[in-house]
Amino acid sequence: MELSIEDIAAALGLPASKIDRWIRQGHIPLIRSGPLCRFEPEALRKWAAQNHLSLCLEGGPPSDCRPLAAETLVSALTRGGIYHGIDGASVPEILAAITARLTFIPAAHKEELLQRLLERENLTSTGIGKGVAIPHPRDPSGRLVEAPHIAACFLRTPVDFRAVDDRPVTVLFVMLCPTVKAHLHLLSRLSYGLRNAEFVAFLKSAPSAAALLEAVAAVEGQLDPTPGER
Amino acid sequence: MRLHPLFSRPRPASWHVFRSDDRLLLILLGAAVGICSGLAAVALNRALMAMLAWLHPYRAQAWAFVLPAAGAALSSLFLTWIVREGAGHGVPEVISSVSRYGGLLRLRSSFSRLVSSCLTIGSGGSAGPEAPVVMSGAAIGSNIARFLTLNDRQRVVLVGCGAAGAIGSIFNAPIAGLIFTVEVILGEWSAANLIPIAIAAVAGTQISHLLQGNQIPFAHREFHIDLSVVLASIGLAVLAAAVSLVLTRTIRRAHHLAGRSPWPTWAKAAIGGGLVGLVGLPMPVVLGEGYHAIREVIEGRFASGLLVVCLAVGAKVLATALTLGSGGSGGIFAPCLVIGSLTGRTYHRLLSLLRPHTTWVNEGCFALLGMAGLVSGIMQAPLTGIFLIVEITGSYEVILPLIIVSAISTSLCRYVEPASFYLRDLMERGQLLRPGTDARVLADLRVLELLETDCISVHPDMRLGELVEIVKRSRRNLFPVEDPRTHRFLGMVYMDDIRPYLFDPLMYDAVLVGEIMDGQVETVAPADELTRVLDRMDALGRFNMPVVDEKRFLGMVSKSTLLDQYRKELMVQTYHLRT
Repeated sequence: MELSIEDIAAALGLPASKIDRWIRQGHIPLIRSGPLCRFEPEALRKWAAQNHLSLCLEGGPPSDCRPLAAETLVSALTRGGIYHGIDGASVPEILAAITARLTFIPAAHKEELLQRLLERENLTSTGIGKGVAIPHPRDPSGRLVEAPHIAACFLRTPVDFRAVDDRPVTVLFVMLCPTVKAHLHLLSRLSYGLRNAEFVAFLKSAPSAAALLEAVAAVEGQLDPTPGER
Repeated sequence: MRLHPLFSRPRPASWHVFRSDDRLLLILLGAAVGICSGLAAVALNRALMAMLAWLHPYRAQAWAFVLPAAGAALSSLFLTWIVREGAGHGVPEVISSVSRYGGLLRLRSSFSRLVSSCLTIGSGGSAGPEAPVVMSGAAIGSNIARFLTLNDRQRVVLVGCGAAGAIGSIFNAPIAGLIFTVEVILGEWSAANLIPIAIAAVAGTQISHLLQGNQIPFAHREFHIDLSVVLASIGLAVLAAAVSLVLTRTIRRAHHLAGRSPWPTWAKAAIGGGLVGLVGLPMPVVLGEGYHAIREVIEGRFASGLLVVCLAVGAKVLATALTLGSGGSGGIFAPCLVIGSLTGRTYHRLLSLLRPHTTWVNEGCFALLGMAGLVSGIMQAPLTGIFLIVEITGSYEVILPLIIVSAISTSLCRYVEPASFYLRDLMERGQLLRPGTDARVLADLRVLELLETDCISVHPDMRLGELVEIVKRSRRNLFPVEDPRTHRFLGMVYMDDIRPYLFDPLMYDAVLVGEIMDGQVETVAPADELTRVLDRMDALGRFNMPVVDEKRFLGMVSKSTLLDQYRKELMVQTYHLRT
């Protein structure tokens, strides 16, 4: 196999000048041939593993190599799903109804999720005003999900959520994230959208799944010109 | 010149496969290098014998002291004007090249020292032919490696092969060649190095067998070693260490004196040679490499008076210092052996005087032990001393006192002199970089390899409010300040300095970046040595410093990145030791 020094440096995550020096000093199993370097991929992989270096040649395992793309609301919503017509008169009833309907949580874990959501509500309300709440477990780094999920839930009747502005809540975004970082990232994006009065009014209309995703994509489009791409 | 198809480009794919697994390649090339350096050793040996025979009729003349002067002057002129190389013993140059330049040596070094040392020693200068042969063999190995475009590691192995072949050939001592190379030249014991070097030592020795016959240089009759000799050897070790130190200091003194004098190098060499010739008039034992003197001492044919032997030791030390210090060309190996054997004989005479009723073992035995003591003391290489003496005298029966003398002499010398004769200058210049050491890793890592370029630059006219926006985006808590027009580096803003004001919106428009930056911050240049950078970080109590080149900010260098890269470098550099 042949690659340029720059490509090999990128695959090892090291500066090209270092790779150049290692070839000259004979510390790396590469042989210069013209502008490229010739090597046995297996020998290089073995060498990298024995020196605790991460090597990402093309065709290698993708989980090792590609950095995760920045998470977006659209992708998290697509994973989490959109649920209409949630019934309930109090916070526990609503959370129980939502948990029962979430399709991405296995039945065995639903009770655990409900307990953790209730625990969090008991600390302080997740009602963030303007009729929106974002129920989530206190510790986001749970084992419940492997990727961020947001479930958009529209209530049949407004319910008092003890929100910061005391207004009854009609829209809930249940957020389940594997990491604190993803949680904060998505929360910040969501609160950016909720600053937009038009978007909030649109949410109150309990839009269809397709319309909601389209509107969220438009909001995210203002945040970054090419959402979800690197 | 048309190259053999194997060496001309493009090379066949099998050549690359062959090169990537270099073990077999290094063994084959090691054998070739060993043969070449063995031939160089034989050539120098023959040339010295011819010079000896040619100049022999003139030695008895009263003006014979001019001979070493003429030889040293010619040798110096040859080195300065024809091959344009410095004098020096040869071995430090090889160690320096291995340590700092990946074993690169000039092609002309493969013969220059042979010619110059032949002139110096053949005319009567007190020096050894071993170091010139080591340099020659090492240069042959280096240039074969360069011709085949091998990498630094492979080249260093071939340089070692050249040295091992040379010592193996000139002393008929393959193990000493191997041990000397690994202990003194390379300073690294690994299977990957040992095997080709062992093969080269065998090849060099075999060449010498074929051309000069298989004879032990300093053969003798068998000694009977008992406990008294082992105990007495402790005293000899102390004496040998003392003489080693005197020799080291005297040579360095002569070197400094010659360095300070205003005359041209050839004139200094001539004066040194002339003085050696004068010393040699009453004491001819000091002249030349002195192998015949060693034989006389070992066989007990040398003068037996304590005073005479003592004087001979002093005269040889003086002659060696004059020859090497004044710019004559040659090594320290043979003088060490001569002085060591004379020291051993001195010690034997002393013992006989102190305990006249005890029957001591033959004085030849103490001569051997003295040689081991001197070699070990001067080179601070105990194994080289032990194996060299066992091989060149064929006397395994003295191994016990030999080990004692070598070990004690090395330890005592190391106690007084932190570095050996060969390494002292290199260490003082900070050029002794043994593989896998902190100094080596730090010398190889470059500042630019550690550069962190994720800082966001700001300019001095920015308001604090604008800086706060940049703080939100930045992953770092420091911000280089650049002139917006010229991009000249002006200073740094550290988050720690401005944190209290970041949350005070009243300050946002009132404060400019130029007012809160540190304009006196110490910077690092890309070419700086990392040891210096780390020393500065420690002195300033910082974990990172800005890298600035020609007034442009390039990035940051930090201790955390350094640790990461340092470990990677150390792992990679010692990889061949682990596999």
